[in-house]
Amino acid sequence: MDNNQRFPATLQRLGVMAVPASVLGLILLIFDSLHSVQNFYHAWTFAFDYLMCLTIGCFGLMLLSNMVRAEWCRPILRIFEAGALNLAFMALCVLPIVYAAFTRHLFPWAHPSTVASDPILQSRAVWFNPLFFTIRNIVFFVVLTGIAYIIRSLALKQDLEKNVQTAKQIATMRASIAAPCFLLMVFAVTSAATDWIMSLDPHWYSTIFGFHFLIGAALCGMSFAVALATTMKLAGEGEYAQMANPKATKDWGNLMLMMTMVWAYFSISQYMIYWSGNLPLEVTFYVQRNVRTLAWFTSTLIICQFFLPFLLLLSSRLKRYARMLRNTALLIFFTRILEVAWEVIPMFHSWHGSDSGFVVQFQGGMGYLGALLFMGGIWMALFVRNIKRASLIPNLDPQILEVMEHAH
Amino acid sequence: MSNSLPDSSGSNHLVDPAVAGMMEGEHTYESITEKLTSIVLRQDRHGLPWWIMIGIGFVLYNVLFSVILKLLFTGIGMFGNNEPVGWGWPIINFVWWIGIGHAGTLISAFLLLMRQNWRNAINRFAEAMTIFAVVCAGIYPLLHTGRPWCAYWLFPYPNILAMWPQWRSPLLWDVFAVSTYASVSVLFWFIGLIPDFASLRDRSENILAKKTFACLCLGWRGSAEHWRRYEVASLILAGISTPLVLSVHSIISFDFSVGIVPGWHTTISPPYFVAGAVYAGFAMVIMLAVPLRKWYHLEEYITQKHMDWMAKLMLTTGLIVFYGYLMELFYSYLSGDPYEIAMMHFRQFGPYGWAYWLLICCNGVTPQLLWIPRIRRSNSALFIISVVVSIGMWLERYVIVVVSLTRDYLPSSWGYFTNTMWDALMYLGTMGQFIFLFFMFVRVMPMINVFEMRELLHKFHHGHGAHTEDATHAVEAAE
Repeated sequence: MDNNQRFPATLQRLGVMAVPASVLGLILLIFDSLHSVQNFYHAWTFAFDYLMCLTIGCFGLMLLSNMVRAEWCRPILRIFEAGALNLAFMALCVLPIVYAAFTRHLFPWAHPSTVASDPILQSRAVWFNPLFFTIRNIVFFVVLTGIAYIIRSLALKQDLEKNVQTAKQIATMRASIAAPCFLLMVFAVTSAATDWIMSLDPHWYSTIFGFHFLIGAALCGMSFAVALATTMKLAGEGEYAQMANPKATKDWGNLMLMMTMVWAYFSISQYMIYWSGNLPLEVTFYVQRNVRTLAWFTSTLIICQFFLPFLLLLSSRLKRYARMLRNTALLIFFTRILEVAWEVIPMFHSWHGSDSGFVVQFQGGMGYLGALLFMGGIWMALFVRNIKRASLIPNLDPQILEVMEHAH
Repeated sequence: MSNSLPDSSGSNHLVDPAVAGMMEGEHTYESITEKLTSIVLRQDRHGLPWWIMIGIGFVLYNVLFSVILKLLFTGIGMFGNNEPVGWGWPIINFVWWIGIGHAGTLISAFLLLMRQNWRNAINRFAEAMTIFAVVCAGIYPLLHTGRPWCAYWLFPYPNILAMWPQWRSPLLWDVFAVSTYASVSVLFWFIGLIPDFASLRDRSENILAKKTFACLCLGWRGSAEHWRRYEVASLILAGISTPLVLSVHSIISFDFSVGIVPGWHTTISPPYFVAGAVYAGFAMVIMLAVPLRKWYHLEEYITQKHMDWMAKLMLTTGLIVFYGYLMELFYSYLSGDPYEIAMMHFRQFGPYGWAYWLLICCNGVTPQLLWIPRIRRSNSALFIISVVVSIGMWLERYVIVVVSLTRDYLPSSWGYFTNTMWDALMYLGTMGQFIFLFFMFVRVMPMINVFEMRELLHKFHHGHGAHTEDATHAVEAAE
């Protein structure tokens, strides 16, 4: 197949490396889970939350690309599509978490004795109960995976279409579907993030949480796509050698800059309101994360997730050079792992009243790394398989011709 | 809508998609300048609608002066503000007006940075709207202090009164945020007007007008160096203005959310206030654009595509606001906090329930009509929806301020708020001030950016690549 002949070596390598990484991860996860079954659930939830962040990022950016049909999104659209299709895999990964809702290993609201002694958890039981939690997860994955496959099939249909007018009609149809789906996604992800992350803490809540998760996901998806596209550009592979031109990289850099600023804006808004309010149920979120090792962790996060990328991406020169942009994208992508760890892992222990749980967990377990490698490896292998199934750059797209023109 | 625009010689050019639909009809650089500057230079371009609007504005402006005069002699006790609602209409109106201004800055600054050509036809009057809205907004907190003649105490200056501002309070941040915002907005507006003042100087026949515009254009000659400096200044000011849009309304949201009052203390506040401000602002821009383009026959410049874009932006920001309402509702009940739950219940089913449900209808339900392309293409429908949104945004602030303050933690501090006639008259008065100032602006300054429209025509002829550096040619051709 012509596609295979031109398939970039970078992606081939990623696909090949994904398998041993996954096996290694599985060994580490099993080894750590032997100590305690709770370790398994904690590690699994952490890896799941991070990879959901990446998958939702790809999914949301795919919808956004279909809506705005701007120049910047066309060269990386296939990356978003391939990432979004992994929602089907993530639907399998959520099963242990759904199962945990019926056991006492993960969620405080699933622990009968804890609920019995806690009026707040009792009042939340209408929403947080195993049956409703399961239904919500099923609806979430069925609807979002369905949307991802519909949009993808329309994109492939457009690729094969010989008639330019019909191709344009399909593009318009994709845009019409994407707009309401984007709205639906925002509400669905808000609910899901509340389930998977916020409900790990028995009392804490924040109304900006959905937005905060979404912007983190967007950063994750965008930095992943940019890192991949610029790596292929640097290796001179496929159409990316031409497509990832300075104009495109500048747009990608600007988008990452904007997302970084919005992330910081949401984070500081939440922090200021809770810190000023100084109410025990709210401020404990930050108090827990400002003790001992976690204080260093918090500082690293502020520097690597905001100050460094912000200052780097302000430079228009950096955004023109693929290598520098790739390094910045990688910095953001890997710092996202730290942020999810910072957010999620202390929650596993907050309901036991232990501030040092995070430290203990990190010292004690390679399970987090194992789960991330295992799940991430399979995710990556499936991603490469998805991306192989279509041309790397959408065909017959009027905007593509424009981008190609700018490259010459 | 055709993608081709005939040039002065009558031949058709294939128009770049980036500028397609942003100007209609047949134009030359000369005809654009003539049509847009004549609104300022010729009184006959201002018909009966202008006189009616300026008349209404003048009458209401005098109402404002009368209310302020009464206030200075009586004190703010003449308003409905009292325990437990100390803020009342003055702060509701302050937040409403300041929010309206945000769309102007967004259009002029943010869209400039984003290289969006559709801003060209609407940025000038949207910036004017911003400034007049900030003027209307500023009056309220100043008078609400009770002693406006002591307002300078808000600034940290060396004194023997042992007075020092409380830096921890967002109310003080407001003073600096709003005054910076007003200063930068005026500067940005004025810088943008300089090339057009020069065109007016060159075209004025009246000697007084000529001299006035000559002073205002600061000796502009349209040289390449002038244009270069102009571009640099515009970009710097746009870079400063864009974060100001975020910061001003975020700080206003902190006025409420850093307090632990139920219904106020919510983390979604900053983005939801900013989105609400832009939402209300776009509603006002549409309310102004619809009559202006009809009365001054500007349909070729402020095209249906502009209206469509503004409607889409209004829908987007409206959805963010609606998301905010739903999150407040959802997390209040999920929180398990009895005070939050009681407040949310009181909002919906208490004595102010009518205001809450009306605001949901105005801000959440009505704008969903904008999903329908046919409605986005109807100016009457857009105008009506914009009026409904403006009412909804006022109600939103009413619900936030009044409902939360009347139901605090202590039942002994519960109460019911009723406004007085003076509250309403002052609000009407600031509307009059806005209308009067805006239509005076329409009379004495070009409401559409003349040189940017010429630049747009240049892009029509030479493609989108011909960007700002080529504006010089357009100006030279016109002069």
